Amino acid sequence: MPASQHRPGLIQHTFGWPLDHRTYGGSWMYHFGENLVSYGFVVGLDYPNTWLSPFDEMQRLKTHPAIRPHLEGGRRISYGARALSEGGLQSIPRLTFPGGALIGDAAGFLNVPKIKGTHAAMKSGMLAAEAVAEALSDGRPAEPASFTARVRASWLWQELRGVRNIRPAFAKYGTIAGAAYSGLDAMLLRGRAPWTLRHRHADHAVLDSAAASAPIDYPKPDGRLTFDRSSSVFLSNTNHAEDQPVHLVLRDPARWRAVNWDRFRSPESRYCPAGRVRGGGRRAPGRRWVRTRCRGRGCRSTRRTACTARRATSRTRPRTSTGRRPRAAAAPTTSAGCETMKLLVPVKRVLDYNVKPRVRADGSGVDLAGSKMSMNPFDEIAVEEAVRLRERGVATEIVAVSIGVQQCQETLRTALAMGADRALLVLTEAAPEPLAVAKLLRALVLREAPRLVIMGKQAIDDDMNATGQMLAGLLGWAQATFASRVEVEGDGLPP
Amino acid sequence: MTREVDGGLETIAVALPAIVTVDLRLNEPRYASLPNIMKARKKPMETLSPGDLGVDVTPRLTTLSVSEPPVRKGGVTVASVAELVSKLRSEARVI
Repeated sequence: MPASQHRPGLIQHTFGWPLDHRTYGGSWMYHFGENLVSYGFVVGLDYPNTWLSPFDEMQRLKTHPAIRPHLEGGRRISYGARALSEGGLQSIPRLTFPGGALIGDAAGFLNVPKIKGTHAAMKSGMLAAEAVAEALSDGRPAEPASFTARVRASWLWQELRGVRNIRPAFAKYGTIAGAAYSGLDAMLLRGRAPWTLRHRHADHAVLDSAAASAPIDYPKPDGRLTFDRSSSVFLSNTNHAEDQPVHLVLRDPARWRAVNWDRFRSPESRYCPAGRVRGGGRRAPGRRWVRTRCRGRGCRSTRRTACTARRATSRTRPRTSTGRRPRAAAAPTTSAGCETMKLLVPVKRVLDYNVKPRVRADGSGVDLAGSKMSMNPFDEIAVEEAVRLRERGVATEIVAVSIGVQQCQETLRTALAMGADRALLVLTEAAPEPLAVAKLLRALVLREAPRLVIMGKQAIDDDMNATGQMLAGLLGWAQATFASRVEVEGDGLPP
Repeated sequence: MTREVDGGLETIAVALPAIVTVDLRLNEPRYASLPNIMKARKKPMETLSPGDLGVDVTPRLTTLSVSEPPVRKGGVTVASVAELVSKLRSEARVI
């Protein structure tokens, strides 16, 4: 947003409009960072009106005089949606099972009135670690059973106990009386009310039929303050495999038709924050009804989008599906004729490949402030190949090198955790150009005397594809570029 | 070593010492395991400056401007196949 409108540290929460008194929800707005504003909207899924669309309510709230001046003139740079578990203490399930424990939001440790759960996630993670350590030391590692007792004895349980009646009160009494009750509960009783309000129904049970709900006429997005769903989802950085199968499949299409469509007019098409869940459809010859689907290929672009059914945006690389490739067996002997073979692996710290780059308003470059940084993916492949060469007994030592700011240490630690033996950091103020990098690497090669330098073919930030070639040129060494398979034979001389 | 070239693969041999630059399909990098992350904290890391290596890193290029690619516009829902065909023909001009 324009710097003139930015008030660092400003926090604003709302509840009520545009939601009616039977619908729980509200918004937040935080001014933070370098002219950034975080704006979000929460709506309880126990809303009664089947025509309600959380996304459109969020857009509508932006037109309110308390919100509009903050956002007007700004630029939308990101969008996302999550599911919050607001059940609180009354809804916490059994916390341990053989081989694991539920911690953080998976267990439902959100403090609802504070809209905050990171502290609960950290605390429950620490308690789980203690329980796991105890189970291991007692020689009964099957289940970290003492976790539940540890949680119950901690300040976390006391805190959640203190706020347990707030959310059910809103469901029971509506917005105004619920807020009044919350004030009473929090300020006078300080959470020590001798009663506990129950959750009386599942969220879906209070949904009114389409006939009984008043249709809502949402204003059309203007493209400056308010936006449509598909262009927002495009900014969500959601990342799924292109060939991911449809993961929501109707078991009984006739039931979808009778309940979801005939009675409620497909509320899932409105509450999906990505607008990707569509029901019903045609009957193709010899095929079953087209299913309600939540699909990944929403728009034809390089960024894959999908409604995440659980609304958890995956920002990590989806490479866990087939499990990790087992480690190759380490061969203790080195290959003939090669007593020691040192490898040098340069790694670059770049903007994480899942993060959408944000260009600074003055066009001077990409704004990296606060963005997630990672090792250049091609360099990760180089580190992996180096480690595999050592596991095969070809290489004897792996030295990782990074050139750049102090935080490149983290990138080097990643390389060390993957299997490199030691690291060198060349401190510079900014990332130098390829030729400067190649000259620095040349100096390090002369100092370290490796037999082989393995590096990514290019970095994903500037895509120069030059450093490796320049380094080979400066050293007068052979170069083999764009490797998709590497073998080292004999003493490394051509046959 | 095998390298990817247009429409196929090329296998070459080079003498060591050599520089190898790697492509996407060489391998699938592992996740670091927790014990290895802990071990990595104890491994040696040496910090140097360009001056130590006798290299001048002054930039030779000046960035004039950086701009974002054009923003994708939202799609529209059409009511019928006929409307879709007419839009493809008259607005998108792809058929």
